[in-house]
Amino acid sequence: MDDDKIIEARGIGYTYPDGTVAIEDAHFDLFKGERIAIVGPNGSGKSTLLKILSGLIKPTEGKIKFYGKEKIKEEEIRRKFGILLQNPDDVLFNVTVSEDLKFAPAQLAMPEKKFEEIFDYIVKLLELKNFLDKPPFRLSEGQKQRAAFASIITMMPEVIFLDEPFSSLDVITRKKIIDYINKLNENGVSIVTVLHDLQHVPFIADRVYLLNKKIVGEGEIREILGNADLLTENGMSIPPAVKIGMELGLNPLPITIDELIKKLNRWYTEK
Amino acid sequence: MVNVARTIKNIAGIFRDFIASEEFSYKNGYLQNVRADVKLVGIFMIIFLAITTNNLFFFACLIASAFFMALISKIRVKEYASRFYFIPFFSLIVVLPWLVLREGKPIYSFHGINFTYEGAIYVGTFFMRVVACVAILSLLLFTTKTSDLIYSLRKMRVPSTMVDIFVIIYRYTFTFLKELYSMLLGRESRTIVRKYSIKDAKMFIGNFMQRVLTKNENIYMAMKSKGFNGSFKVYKKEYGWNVHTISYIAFIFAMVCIWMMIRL
Repeated sequence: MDDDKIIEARGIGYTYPDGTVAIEDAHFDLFKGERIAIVGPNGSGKSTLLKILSGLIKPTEGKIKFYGKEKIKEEEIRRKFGILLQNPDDVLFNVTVSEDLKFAPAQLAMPEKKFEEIFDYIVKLLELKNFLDKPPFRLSEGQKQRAAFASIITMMPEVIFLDEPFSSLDVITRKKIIDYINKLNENGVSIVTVLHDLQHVPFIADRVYLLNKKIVGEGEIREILGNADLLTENGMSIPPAVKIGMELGLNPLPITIDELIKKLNRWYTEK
Repeated sequence: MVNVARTIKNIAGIFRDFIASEEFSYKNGYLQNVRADVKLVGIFMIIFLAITTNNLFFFACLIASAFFMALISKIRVKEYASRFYFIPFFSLIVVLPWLVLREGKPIYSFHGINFTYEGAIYVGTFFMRVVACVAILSLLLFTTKTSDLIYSLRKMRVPSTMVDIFVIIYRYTFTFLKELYSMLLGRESRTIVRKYSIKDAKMFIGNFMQRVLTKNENIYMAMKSKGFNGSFKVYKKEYGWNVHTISYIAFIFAMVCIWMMIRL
């Protein structure tokens, strides 16, 4: 099992130069093919932790191992990790969307033919064709988020880190991206997603870390999302399905609206 | 102060659009089909010719050719001119005092200030040269993708550090202008009482610098995450010879001939 371990972080802390503590004594494990969500309230250190886990910044405390090694060449990490930062404007730094999509594969010397295949697929999937030649600042927030996501996917990474990837997306595009991420996961790609909205967690993760400067909760999604006290104590709102389930005294608690509807249907039929 | 802020915002917007004009390179027009390396060499050759002559006819030929090439490159004249006019406009403001500073035959007098013929010729030549050079250089930037430019520069054995510096400046200028524009827009949207002081301006500049620095750090992080290791890499391009490239070379040759006739 340890051979499959991609990230092992222990006692991770990060303090900004002005003395602000972002994270204290956090731990994290990622195995090959896992889907993990890091959730927490605003300012809980989620994005900072994601940057540390993806090797973009070094923690000020603690140790982190990538593929079992404490010292690893940066190039090796960059080839395997794709990181979608929270603000698409930071990810789309080229003058046109098309150049942005080409940037990473060219830096990583990916064969052009392989790049073209994934490029055509992702452009079609995310309906990017009409704005490939546009400068990113002319796009809407949702279009930017789609383009930023595409620019990460063209790298064909082994691990994908996503920081609030659905914040500006409409329902249809969100579903398309979630389906695509899950398809990648079925092919062995590990997914680490930072979210503040717990409603999306069941669709994108199997395991959850609840962060509030420290790791305050960790476990299977049902275990964390169903723990109303833990969530409210840490400034998180309880997902609607869980809330309704609690009110109705359902056991086990539903964690998605679909689950809730199924349970209610069964309940009505039985009654 | 309000007007200054608004003017800066407008200038930032125009500059930003100028850099973003790369979007024209995706159209299937004349210059878009000319080999990028040939286009690069040709345009620099034309600029060399322009700075080594004072002939107004030559400048007029260059400007007319630039507009014609823009037209056949599917760039509408209005769009083309509106994206670069500000550079010659600023150069005109800078050079205008030479109308009176240059000694010579007076052509007009105003309260004892003489506008001289030599001054008018100097200003006219300078302005026309800037228009010609900027119009030609804009065509290169508007019709060539950044990756093609990088590849061509590398192919021409331009030192790697110079190419990387060029790309970084190009990208960071774009970010700088985008940020300046959005900050000024945000400020304008919350302006009710239009009263600013020098202190406001100083705070704004400080805040802006800090914001640009943070932005650039984030962008650098994103670049690093996409495999950037200090040197920009691009895919190899396969440039073939086509009728567009050959006719472009003929145009450059014609310009060299006109220049030589003028010089001789």
